[in-house]
Formats: sequence, C-alpha cells, structure tokens
Amino acid sequence: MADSNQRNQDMPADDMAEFLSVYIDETGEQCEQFVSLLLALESEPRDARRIAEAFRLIHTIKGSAALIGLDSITSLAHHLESHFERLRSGSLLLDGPTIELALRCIDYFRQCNDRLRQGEKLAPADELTEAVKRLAQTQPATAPRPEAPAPVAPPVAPPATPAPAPAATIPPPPPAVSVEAPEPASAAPSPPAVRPAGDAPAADERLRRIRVQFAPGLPMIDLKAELVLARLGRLGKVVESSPAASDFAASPALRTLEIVLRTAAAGSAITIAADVDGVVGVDLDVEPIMETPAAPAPAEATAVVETMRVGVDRLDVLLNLVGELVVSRARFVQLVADMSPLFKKSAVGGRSGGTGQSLREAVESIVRSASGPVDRAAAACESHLEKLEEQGRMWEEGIRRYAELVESVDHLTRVADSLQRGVLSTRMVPVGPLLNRFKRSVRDIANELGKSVTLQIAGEKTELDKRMIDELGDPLVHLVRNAIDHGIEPADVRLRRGKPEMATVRLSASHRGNSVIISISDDGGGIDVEKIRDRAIARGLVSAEQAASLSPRELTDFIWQPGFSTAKQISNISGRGVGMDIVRTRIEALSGSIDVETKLGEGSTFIIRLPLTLAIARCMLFRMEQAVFAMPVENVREIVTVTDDCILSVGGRRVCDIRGEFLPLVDMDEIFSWPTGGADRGQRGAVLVMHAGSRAVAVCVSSLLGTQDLVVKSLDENFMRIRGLGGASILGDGEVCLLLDAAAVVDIVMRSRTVTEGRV
Amino acid sequence: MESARAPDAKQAASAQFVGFEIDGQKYLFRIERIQEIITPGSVTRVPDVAGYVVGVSNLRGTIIPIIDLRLLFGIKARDPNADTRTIVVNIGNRTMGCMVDSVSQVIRIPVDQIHSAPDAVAADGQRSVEGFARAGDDLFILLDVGSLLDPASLAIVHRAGLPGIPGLPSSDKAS
Repeated sequence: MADSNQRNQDMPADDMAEFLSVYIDETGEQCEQFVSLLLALESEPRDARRIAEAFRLIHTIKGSAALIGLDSITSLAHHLESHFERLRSGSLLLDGPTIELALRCIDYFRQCNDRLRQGEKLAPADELTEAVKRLAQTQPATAPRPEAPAPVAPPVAPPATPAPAPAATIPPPPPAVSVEAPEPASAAPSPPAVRPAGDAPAADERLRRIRVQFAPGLPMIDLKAELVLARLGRLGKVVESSPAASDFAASPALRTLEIVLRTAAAGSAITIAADVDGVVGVDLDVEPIMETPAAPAPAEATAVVETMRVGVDRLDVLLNLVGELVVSRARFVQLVADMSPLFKKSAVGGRSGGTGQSLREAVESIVRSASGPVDRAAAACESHLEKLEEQGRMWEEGIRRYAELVESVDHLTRVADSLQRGVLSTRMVPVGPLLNRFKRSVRDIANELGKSVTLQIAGEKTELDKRMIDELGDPLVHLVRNAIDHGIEPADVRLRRGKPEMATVRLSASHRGNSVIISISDDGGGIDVEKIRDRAIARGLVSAEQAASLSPRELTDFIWQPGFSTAKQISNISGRGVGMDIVRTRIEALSGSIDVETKLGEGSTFIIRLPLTLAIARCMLFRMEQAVFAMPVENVREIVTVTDDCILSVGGRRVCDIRGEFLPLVDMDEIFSWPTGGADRGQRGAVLVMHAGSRAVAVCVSSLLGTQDLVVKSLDENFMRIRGLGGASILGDGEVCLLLDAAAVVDIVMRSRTVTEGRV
Repeated sequence: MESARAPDAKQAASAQFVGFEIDGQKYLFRIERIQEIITPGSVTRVPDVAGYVVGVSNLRGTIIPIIDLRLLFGIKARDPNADTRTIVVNIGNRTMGCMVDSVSQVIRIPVDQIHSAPDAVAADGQRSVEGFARAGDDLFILLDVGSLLDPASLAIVHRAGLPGIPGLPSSDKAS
C-alpha cells in the first residue's frame, strides 16, 4: 500500500481524476454485482461458484482502490477478502451476520464513491474493519491458497464492464496489494476467465452461439425463425438450433431461438443477418464454444459486447448537434414543400412554355401577314421570344433539379432519423441495475417490518434514458416501501385470507409504443376506498354528501394529495403521508405519469408511464395568438370540436361537456398571464383535451399545426423557469415555440378553479 | 463613430467599449461582456414575465431571453426600426439579449477619462451605473452588464428607472 501511495503522488493530477472516475464507475458496478451475489447466497450459502465470484469482485475492488491509494477502502476490502477466501476454501460457512456485515461494507464503498464524486474526504472505516477482523477471529485463519481466484466457471457476464482499467495504463500491477501469490488479474475487472484452447483456431472458422429474441406475440413466428436461420445459413453452417427448425411450427409462443453457427463472419455481420423485422435482441457469444462442452454454459452467460466508456457530456454534445440537425432537416422539408407548387410541371414551367409557344405563333402570323415597318418590331419580338424560350428551358432544368432536391431531402431525412435514433440509443441503459437494487431494499424493509416478501423482477433489459434511470430511484424506493408497509398484510391476516404467507412484490418494466411502463405491484390488501372516503371527509377535503357520490376511481385519486395517508400507525417507513404527492411530482417532472389500479383484498399496482427519452419529444403543435405552443403527444387525449351549447359557464368559469364528461375549458390567457394582454377568446378553432395521469383539461386552440419531433430546450438555462412551461423548442423556420407541461397546466387550472369555488 | 482620439493618452491605459443609445442618452458596455450584436430576429412572447421581457429568441440553436432596455428603464416602447439592435451579453453562464435603439462602433477610451459613479447614484438604487466618460462631445454612462441584466435584480433596475448621473446634463429626463 505504501508503494501505491508513492506512485499516487507521482501521478499527474488529471490522470488521477481520470483514474478516479474509472474507479467510481467500475466499483459502482462491482458493488451492484456483489450485492446481488450476496442476496443469492443468502438462500444458498454453499454455492461455491457464487462465493468464488464474490471473492473475485472484492479482490478487484481492493486492487482498484489500492492502485489509486484509497487506503481505508483497500484495508477494509483486504480483510473482507481474507474472510471470503476462508469461505471459498470451505473452512468457514457463510452465515447471516457475515452477509449483513458484507452488505455494510458495500454501503461504505458506495458512500465513498459518492464522496469521491463530490471531492470530499473519505470517512474512516476503522469500526467496520474491526468488525470484519473480529469475524475472522471466530475461527483461526487458514493459510491463503496460492491458486488463482476465479475458477474455470466464466463470470456472470458483468454488464458493460470494459477493461480500460488503470492497470492497462500503468505498467506494473500494484505489488503490495496482494496477499496471495502474484496473479495476473489484479486490478483489471472481469478478465475473461479462461480462454479455452479454441482461442486461436487454425482455421478462421469458429463456432458462434447466437441467441435471437423475438418480440412477444409476433404473428407467423415460425416463418420469422426460418428466415433468421436461412439468413444465418448464408454466413456459414448452422450446426444446431434450439428449438430445431422442424419444431418451429409447433412453437407458436417462441420467444428465443438459439443457434450454433460455424462461420468465419464477423460478429457485426451475424448480428445484422439475424436482425430481421420482429427481432428485439440478438446476443452473440464471443467466447468460442468448445467442440465437446464439458458442462452446458451457465444460463447467465449472455453476450459479451465490446464496450467503451464515453463521458455523458460528450453524448450530450452529440445529442445537441443531432437536435440542430433535426431542426434543419425540418427546415429543408418545409422549404421543399413550399417550393413544390412552383415546380409542379403543370404549373409555372409548363405554362410559360405554352405561353412562349402561342406567342411565337402570334408573332409569326403578324410577320406573315404584314410587311415593311412591322419587320423591325417583329424582329425585336423574335429576340425576346428566344430569351423567353431560353428561360423556359432553364425552368425545365430547374424542375429536374427540384426533383433531385426532393430526393436528397428524403435521403437527408432518413439519415437524420437514423442518426437521431442512434444517438438517442447511446443514452439508453437497461433498467436492470435499477430494479435489481431493490432486492436489497426489499429484504431490508421486509426484515424491519417482520414480513416475508419475495421480489420478482421482469423486463430488466428494457432500456430507458440514463437521466431518467438516475431520477427514478427515489420514487421507486418510496413505492416499494409503501407496497411492503401498507400493501402487504401481516402474516396472520394473509393466512386468514388464504394467501401464501410469503408475499410477492413485482417490479416490471416494458415498452409500450413510445413509452416505457414501470409497474410496482403487490399481492397485499389493496387500497380501501372506504377508508379514503372517511379520511377525505375527516380532513375536510370533501363534504359527506360529496364523498358519497364519488366513484372509487375518484376516491383513489386522493392518495396523491399532499399529507394524505390512511395508515393508522406512522411507522419509520411510511404513513406520514408525505411521499405519494412527491412521487407524482417527481414522475411528472420526467414528463411521465403515474396511476394506480387496486382491488380490495387482492393488491395494488402502481403504473408509471415514461417517455423513452427526455431529449426529444413528439409534440402536437398549435398556434395561438400569443405564440406557437407544443404539447407532448402523450399528454394529448383528443382533439374535439365543441359547439356552443356544450359549453356551460359556472361562476365565470367555463366547463365543456365532452360526451357527458365535464371538463374545465380554458384559454391560454386563463392559464398564463401575458405581459401585453391579448385575449383571443371567441375565435376557437378546436378544443384540445390534455391529460396528466387521470386528470384532464380542455384548452381552446386557434389552429392546429400537426405533430413534429421537437428537441426540448430549457428556458431556465438562460433565463428562468416558467410554471406551466416544460421548455421551448426551435421550429423548422427558426421560430421558438413554447412547450407546455401538461401536469403543471392541469394543476394551474384545477387550483384556480378550487379558489373560485371556495369564494362562491 | 468615435475612435481613439488622442495618441497622447497611453494606448495601454485605455479600454474598449461598445456604445449604444436609448432615448437619446448614450451608454457604454465593456466590450469583454458582449458576445455579439445582432439585428433583432423573430421573438416569441412568453407568459408570466415582467413587461420588459419581450420574449425568447433562437440564437443559432440556443434559446435566449430578449429584454427591451427602453421598457426596463421605464421609457415608452418604440417599434423597432432599421437602427434597432440586440446586444447579446454573457452573464455568468447565461446568454441574454437586450434591445437598444442603436449601436455605435467600438470606442476606445483612456482609463483616466472614466470617472466612477458618485455614491449618490448607487444609493439611488442604480447599482448598474459603473461610471461615466466623455469622448469628444459625447457624454457616456458606463453600465455594468452583470448588475443590469442579472435576472435576480432586473426588477430593482426597473424600479430605479433610467440610469443617469445627477448633476450631469442628460439629453432627456426620464419621468
């Protein structure tokens, strides 16, 4: 350790910062993996493969920490590693307290990461280190074994863990960090465990395992599978497929097709060949397959895709540029559309040709019929005519060029669209790590409350914009806590209701159109609307008569009110009524919405709907007298024409009747105040019904301009936040349009209505 | 318009300014605070802001607020004409535009010709007045861009009205 400190001081400061950020990223991922291993080990403490894997991870963390001279982490990891070494050798058995302590160590590592990120000093780990040492004293330590840590079993493919490891840039591996015999895999995380003999095959051909995943419910799946097989067959020889080609027709619910292909083709070529319409994922095993596999490859060993780390700021720059490109593409499309009447063959060009022709005939007839002084005038006409014809030819040329322009703009559009999708996809990360974090929280919360709960996770591969993943953590924690604390009944109640004692909380993610759905469901008691009714009356939110007429749906909506809780007891975890409203605010800040479905006695499901990305939004544009406004299409429920007899006026506020549903009807100047006034009441082109979650408001709009992809820009970056506006965007003609924030607008309208009703 | 007049003043001891005019009064911004000067483009109105915020504009992909200095100083609005310019300035990490009646060329003024503002001016709430300078026959009021256009203090500037120096002749008195 002294050595690594020494090196540390010699290192230039910016190199250090770079190593630090690599360290933070990698350790973060390793901590995640370590926690999920521990949780799995909790139920199967003798799983040697997992213990070995855990040992390897802790060893890697130690190595990386030592390399940049983080002594407290190195020392703690060292003792923890020693302990895991004993577990691995079988001289000790993994028990509850050890897991508990190991989790606390991970908490410490994470806390250190946070501090490192903030540039703060690390907290001492003496107490934890002592605790780990004491753990070791329960049984005398056996001599460390000299063999390499990770045995033949390939690692549980660490997601996107490349190895631009510090070790690669600093020639000697840290000498003083290792207590065991020297080993090659010191600081480099997740080295490919073992390269079988097939690593350097004599021929270029090798066996590749390809896993193709199809979208669920795909029609004619058997044909798709055959297509994939045929396309791959062109690249080499299909050795085997699972299910076999003859069984395709018999597997209507086929989702995954595994193929072993003998080929010399590159991975990218294979991926392209396998990626036919309807395929949602192609995973490629980079590891060569041994001709006679001793044991089947572990199920987790999926693709090892080559990756590299790129700073988010660089991606942001790219995204901004793509935004510019999207705007200028829109401008081109607009220009071409504007020009099209000019260049329509039947229009000006053709007509001017025709005009020239008839003019020529007229002139010629004059020349024929007349003589003498007319000649000179005729000659002049002639020369003018020639010019006109020349211009006509140029015009024809222009029409041809215009057709080429249209084609080029089409091409530009396609390229820009692909580029936009490509750049957006670089920001997309799977929700897996986010959801898997809850394995730990669910375990802790359930233990604390004395409930037994299993967590089911589905759709880990669903991808979401990284920023959203970062911001979703807190709201999800709250919802999960809520589900365990409020949703799930005590064991005796569950048994009485005929439910298994072990309750289930399910976290799942999926794509639906342009949105991502994340749902949190429990099989607990559900939301008791009668309790809500009582509570709403007790809190004076509604009168008893009003409450009696409210539908269960409307009653359920009260849970989103600040300070509303039906929990009888206030626990450490929930019941203070703070939270649900904050959860909703946070989700809405991400341009998402949250709803709840509940059935008394059977459980509740909270459904979060989020746009795929925050950077580009598909919007409905409409022009108002004040400005052009845009509303994300997810928030547009419908566009209706409303006749005057459907509009009621209640205390100066208008309400409109849309198929029996009464919605507040507002103009832009009721939502916002405009510095220079400018009401355009009366001129009502259409009514746009916008909704946020289950609440809806009708807004009068002058004219609709259609939908467009908009690059969302912030208003507060250069100026200030304006309530009700989610940002601004630049249209094809360079004009700025204002983006409405549906949730905030609905809030503004509802609040102004409540105030008025209060006064009346 | 007015360039470095006298070589007798040491070149090194002079500073560069951009001069502009509002309602007949001439003002200066330090050149290093200015990003660029543009002819006003299309401005989109925004709600829930003070009257002197004309709206937002697209400056090559960045959305910047546009502030009308006439309105900010409490002078009646005037329709933009051929001389109207938007001066784009950087305040902290924000970029903003301010509309002025006209902009003159860059002016170099010797440092010793710049007089700091009397204390009375600052006490008057006109913290944006940094000083004044005479160049040729013209009297310029030097404004500090940062304290003039900082969103947090715009309202204060607005309340203080037209920046001026008491006791110095101004072409027009603000009401």
